[in-house]
Amino acid sequence: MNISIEWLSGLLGFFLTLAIFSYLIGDNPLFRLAIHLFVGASSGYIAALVFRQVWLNQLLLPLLNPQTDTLMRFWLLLSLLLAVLLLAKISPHLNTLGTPSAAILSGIAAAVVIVGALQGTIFPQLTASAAPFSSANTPDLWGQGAIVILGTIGTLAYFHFGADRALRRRGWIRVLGWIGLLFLGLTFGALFATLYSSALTALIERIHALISFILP
Amino acid sequence: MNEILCAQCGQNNPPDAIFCQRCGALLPPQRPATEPLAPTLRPGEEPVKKSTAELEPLLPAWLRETRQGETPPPVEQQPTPAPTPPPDPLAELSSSGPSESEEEIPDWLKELGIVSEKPQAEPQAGPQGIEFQWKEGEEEKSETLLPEGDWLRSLSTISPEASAAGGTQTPPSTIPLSEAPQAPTQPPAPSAGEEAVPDWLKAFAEAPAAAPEVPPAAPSAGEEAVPDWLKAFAEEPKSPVEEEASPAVPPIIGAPIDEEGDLSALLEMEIPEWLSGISPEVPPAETPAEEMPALASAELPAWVQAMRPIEAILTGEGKGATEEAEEEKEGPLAGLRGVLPASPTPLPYTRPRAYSIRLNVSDAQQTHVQLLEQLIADEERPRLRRTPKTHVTSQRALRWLITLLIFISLSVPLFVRSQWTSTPALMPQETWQFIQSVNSLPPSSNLLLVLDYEIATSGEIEALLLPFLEHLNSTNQAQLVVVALNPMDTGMSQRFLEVLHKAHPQMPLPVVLDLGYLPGGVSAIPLFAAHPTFASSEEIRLKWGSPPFEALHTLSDFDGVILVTDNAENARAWIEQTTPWNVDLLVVSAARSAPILLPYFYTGQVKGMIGNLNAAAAYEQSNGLPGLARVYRDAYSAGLWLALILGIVGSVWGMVARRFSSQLREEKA
Repeated sequence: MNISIEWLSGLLGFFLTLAIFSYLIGDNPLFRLAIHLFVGASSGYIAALVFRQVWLNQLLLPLLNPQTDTLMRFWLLLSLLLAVLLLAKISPHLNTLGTPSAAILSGIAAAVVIVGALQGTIFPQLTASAAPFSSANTPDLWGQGAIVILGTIGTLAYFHFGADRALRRRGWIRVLGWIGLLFLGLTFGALFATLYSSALTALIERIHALISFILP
Repeated sequence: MNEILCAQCGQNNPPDAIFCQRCGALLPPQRPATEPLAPTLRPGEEPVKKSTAELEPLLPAWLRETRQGETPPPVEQQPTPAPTPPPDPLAELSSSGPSESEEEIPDWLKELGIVSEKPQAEPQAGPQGIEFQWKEGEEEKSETLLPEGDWLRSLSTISPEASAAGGTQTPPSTIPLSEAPQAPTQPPAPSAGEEAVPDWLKAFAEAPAAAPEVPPAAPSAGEEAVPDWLKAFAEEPKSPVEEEASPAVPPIIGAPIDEEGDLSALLEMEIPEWLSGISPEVPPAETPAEEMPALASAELPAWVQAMRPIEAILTGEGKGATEEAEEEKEGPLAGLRGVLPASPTPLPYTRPRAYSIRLNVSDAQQTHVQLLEQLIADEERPRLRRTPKTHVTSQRALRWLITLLIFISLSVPLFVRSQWTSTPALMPQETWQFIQSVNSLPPSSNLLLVLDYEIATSGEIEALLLPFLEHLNSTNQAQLVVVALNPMDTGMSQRFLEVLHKAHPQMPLPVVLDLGYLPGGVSAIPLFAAHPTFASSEEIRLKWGSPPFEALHTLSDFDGVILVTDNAENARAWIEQTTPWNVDLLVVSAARSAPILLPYFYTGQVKGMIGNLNAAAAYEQSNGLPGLARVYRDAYSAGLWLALILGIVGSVWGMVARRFSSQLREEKA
């Protein structure tokens, strides 16, 4: 019997999978051993990867490269400074030093997300919601669009937490809220089903790996 | 102990002390220890008779020398009484006591004839003043004793007649001295004795009516002997206050003197020792300090000066006002006059504003406060928690049972490699569009494969992605550029190639360029779209500049982007950020994120999507190459059926159990 790396890795995977499954009988050392191994290996791998691909390839080597122009060197030094200042967030006393770096990151991310949401989600989704009501479409698409609009308005009505009690007690708002609650239930049910589907697929893959290891 | 007792406050002071340590009063000089201590007059005590001659040895030496050297009084010829303890100054007022002997009567009083040689009766003397007795049988005798023309004689005859003129039937036996000034204020009835009254006394009697404008007396021979300072006293007008304050004092000084004999007699009479030291030649204001070194006021300490009686620093009218001030009777200031300020009117007193400590709270606020207090109290109060009764004795057994069912339902199809379930008859629209997009790719197309999923879903992702790779590898010799948004996905391209090679060993593998990890998350996507190699190493950049990737500069240069994800948020960010670049985006999503990304397919932002294992199985069926999706399909279907059955059974069991428990409660009730 040839003992290859694949067989050893398969054997290790087999035992680690059984260790994870042992959580069915409760918390036990095997489960903890597998979790610690996974967390430790992932952390080490990510640290090594980030150091190699970010710190070394994108910062240190270009800085030490004499062919790097001055402007690029300035930007690299500025990036290095901001990164070092961001490390000050570790200390409560030097926390404020890392604020500029965090502000830059948060500001850029917020700007990107907001612009992207407007261009890529809100306007296209509004257009798509109104598209079924085009005169060129058939009545079945009208019905589909009506359901989409009803679900959208009903969901918004359900989350109408106005301070005006008189407005809150109005009948049509309560009806819309009930319809929105129905759509929310269907949505969360579908999400739970897809979540179960993903977990079921992952479990099937693991059982298939175990069987494949036992019966290659 | 030769301590000196203060006459004012009774404080014992050291023998060398000059002033009292308590009240600051001038202490008497130290006497030998053998001498008995003189009784001290206390407030409220009755003074005892003392002789002024006893004060002689107590006078300071400088005072005695001054008197002996300059103005020897005529009384020096008389025998000086033996030194006695320091008398009280008020004792002089009671010199007309019943036991008064003739030797103790001063000569000037004898000459005046106020006191008879033999006392007829015991005058009643008290602290209030001196009372004169008037007896009818002795009037004439008294008149004979008085000198002819003397004002005192006429004074003795005026009073009874004046009393009779007032309508009094029986004249009082005694007349208080304090009431004496009332007689001169009213013009007495004319009588024989009125003529004997001297002019200056008449003027005195008329003084209350015109006190401020006392006419100057006619110059006489005897007036020349009056010293200037005495004239100044005489010419000084008396204020009404002074007149009211001391009306009983006979105006000996300052009264007009019209007869030389009277003035001579007045000057020849025995002058008290304290008055004998005053002479015209030595005015009080010009007393040289060097002659009285013992009383050098400049050497007094500040606190002593502060404790001096206020009359010592006041002059003129202020002094008269000080004399009117109330004398302190008790405490360390006993005997001092005018020390404490006495305001005639009480100080302005305003009642402080009252502030209520009660909060201005309305009824509604009070209700809210009570409600809040009740809520807080309820939080701390233990409350019994009703827990529903469970009819399953062991949750662990049920859990083990469900686990066993799942493992059996999944393991059996995999173990037997069954294909009990048929292939999907219907393909989802997004999957069909995905296949059409792949089919429409140009030959040797450049595709970007973006990996963004967790290792836990790698089994599902491999099953979904493998049909696409098989299709791509079988129809199009594409070049794949792989970039990972998740650090754990770095190097996963090699894993896909291994799976693909294992599934189809005879199939050539696509050209793959792994750009590695893209740091920055969502913020790095726009930059990556503009410069795909900005985050790559130098080695990758060299490959990027060589065929077949030399034509790729931006995201738009790719023929298609395949997003492999199980994170709906990151996938949405990628969709949003790549929309402006007008590139075909295909999504391979895990089942848990597919429903969220499906709307983007309907908007056209996503050209196609593989969202679950059934879609992957349909893709394999369309390719004609069965793969992992087909292998997993039976187990996947068994797992879904098992979940459906367990859900139905659990719901029915719950309804039955609830019904059964309600019946039990009704029976018990």
